[in-house]
Amino acid sequence: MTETLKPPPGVYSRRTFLQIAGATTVLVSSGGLLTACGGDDESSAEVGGPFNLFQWAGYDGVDALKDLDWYAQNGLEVNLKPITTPGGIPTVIKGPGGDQWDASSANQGDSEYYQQIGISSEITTDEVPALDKMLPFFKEGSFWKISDGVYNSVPWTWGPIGFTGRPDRIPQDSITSYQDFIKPEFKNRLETFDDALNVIATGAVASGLDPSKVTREQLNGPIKDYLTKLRPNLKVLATSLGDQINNLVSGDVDGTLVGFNWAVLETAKQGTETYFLVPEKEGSYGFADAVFIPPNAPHRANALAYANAMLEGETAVTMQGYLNQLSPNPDVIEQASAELRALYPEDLDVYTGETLQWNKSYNDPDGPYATIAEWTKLWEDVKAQG
Amino acid sequence: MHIGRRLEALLLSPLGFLLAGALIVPAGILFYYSLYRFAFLEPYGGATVGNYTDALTSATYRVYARNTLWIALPTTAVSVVGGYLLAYYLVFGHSRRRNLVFALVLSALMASYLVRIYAWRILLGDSGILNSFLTGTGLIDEPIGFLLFSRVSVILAEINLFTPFAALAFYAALAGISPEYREVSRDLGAGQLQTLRRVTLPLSGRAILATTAVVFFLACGDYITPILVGGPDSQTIGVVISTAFGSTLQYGLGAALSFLTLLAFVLAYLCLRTAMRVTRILPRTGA
Repeated sequence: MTETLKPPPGVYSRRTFLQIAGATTVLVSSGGLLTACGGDDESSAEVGGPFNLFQWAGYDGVDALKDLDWYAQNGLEVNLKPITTPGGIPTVIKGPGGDQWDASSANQGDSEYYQQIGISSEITTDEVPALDKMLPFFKEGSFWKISDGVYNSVPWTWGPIGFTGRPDRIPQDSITSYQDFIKPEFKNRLETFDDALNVIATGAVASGLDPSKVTREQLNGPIKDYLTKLRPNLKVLATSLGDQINNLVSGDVDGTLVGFNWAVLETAKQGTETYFLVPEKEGSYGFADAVFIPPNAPHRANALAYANAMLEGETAVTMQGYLNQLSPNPDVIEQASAELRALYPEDLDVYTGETLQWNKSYNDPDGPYATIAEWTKLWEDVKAQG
Repeated sequence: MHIGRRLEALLLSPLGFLLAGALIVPAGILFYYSLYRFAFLEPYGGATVGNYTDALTSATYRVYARNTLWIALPTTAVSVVGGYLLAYYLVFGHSRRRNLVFALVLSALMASYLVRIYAWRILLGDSGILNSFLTGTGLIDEPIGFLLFSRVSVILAEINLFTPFAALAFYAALAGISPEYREVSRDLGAGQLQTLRRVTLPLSGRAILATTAVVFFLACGDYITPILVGGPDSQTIGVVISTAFGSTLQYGLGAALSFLTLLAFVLAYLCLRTAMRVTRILPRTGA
């Protein structure tokens, strides 16, 4: 069990400092200008009432579950705040007013980190029974499982990350390796999602390295070399997944790295044919999003109901179809459309457990692996190479 | 009407409290952050100037600072000159279309910031209006690629954002100039250009200084436009600061970069003020 890191004696913790500063401000302004927008203190074991959700837009289920009327049927009044950056998640949950949130989202690479900094709480299979129904990789995976029947979060949607291209610009069979993307013929024709977590993971996989254990030597060696060679070929640094799709459809780019397989279905809706591929030589890595619940969530019962609904039953099937990403629950996967199921290989146990690699972020500057801050610094360095 | 000092203080105190609460206190917190390294969302180790030395010695941040200037300088120059010309026309012009132009300036300000940025994508993209027109008319064979996702597109989008703002600020300043000054100037034999240089510009000098400074600061600090219409060569200091606070949670580095940027702004302001005084656009007193 990991412990929350504390600042050394004599140094104010960020929270303490903010509390002092906040109190000073209130006194000075005498109007409560910076009063934290805290939630109510009601806490109930019954599902119903306010549900404060800090979630990626579209992953909240507000639109997707409208037809099922799931929120209303459970008497939930959802107060939604969309996540804009992964880094914003701990900032919001741990910052002033952060104790109002009932649930949020963690990438598999951050699940353990969130537990370390004390923003996520343990969830048992008694609380979320659907946890027991997951594919072995998710049920037993160290990203989420703390001990038997106890998890740090509830994984509920996942997929591979690779390359999405336009066949009229880059024939699919011309790409067999990540080394193909650094060829001079692709100068100023490609795009990537501008996110260090995924770009560095791509660089790691391209260099034949495990993206869950990137050392500083690897980061500043082969990964930097690969990304430096890739840099002249990047025309666009996309700010969102929607942006990636728009740029493919508009023809501003010929292909995008850090591509998602469901983009193929989205571009098709807009009349543009694309393909998704994982370079067969090096393979790729996957992502899995999980619901986590802060320890002081004022409406924990609502958060648990939401987490369970994302993982089983009609709600999970609907979300799976809405996002075009598979669930970790085989019962739900069985009900995926043929179109969606075709985006994933047949044997999902082998795929999740052996074929796909999984990135992980580290935050301890004294630890053996490069931290996410170091990943970001390297990506900034590469981008600055004009 | 004479207002007693106590009443004056009372009337100003809400603003003072607001500034104290919303500016000075957060700035103090930010300065504190800048003196620490962060890990796991908490400061660790003792106070250090390491964030400042990192920011000042990093070749990467120098590149981002240079990118910022290459975007902000032309943006400011064109926005201020363009805004001044627009305002001059609106105040001193005789055309009946002035009201229409004024309405257009105002409507540009009312349009959503993001909509205005995204509009440039539709205009400048490979399959955008401009490229489609040029390829359709046979003027070019291939779409011009550097129009979008480049420094050019960022500058164009920011000029579009800031020119109406500058025009409105100048409008207020020019409209406040008594017509008699300009009439006297002409009565004394000065031409239009000389009246502009010797009378109108100095009388609107403070507005020029303030507007130029604000547009420059906004252009330097804008991190949305470079992200949305810029390419890899359009990354600015604003983007780095945003990443430090929003993604890597390196509050110390982000805060240090913010204070260094603030310092650069102060220096830029002083340089601009001196230059305007030397060229007599800004009167010696005031400002």
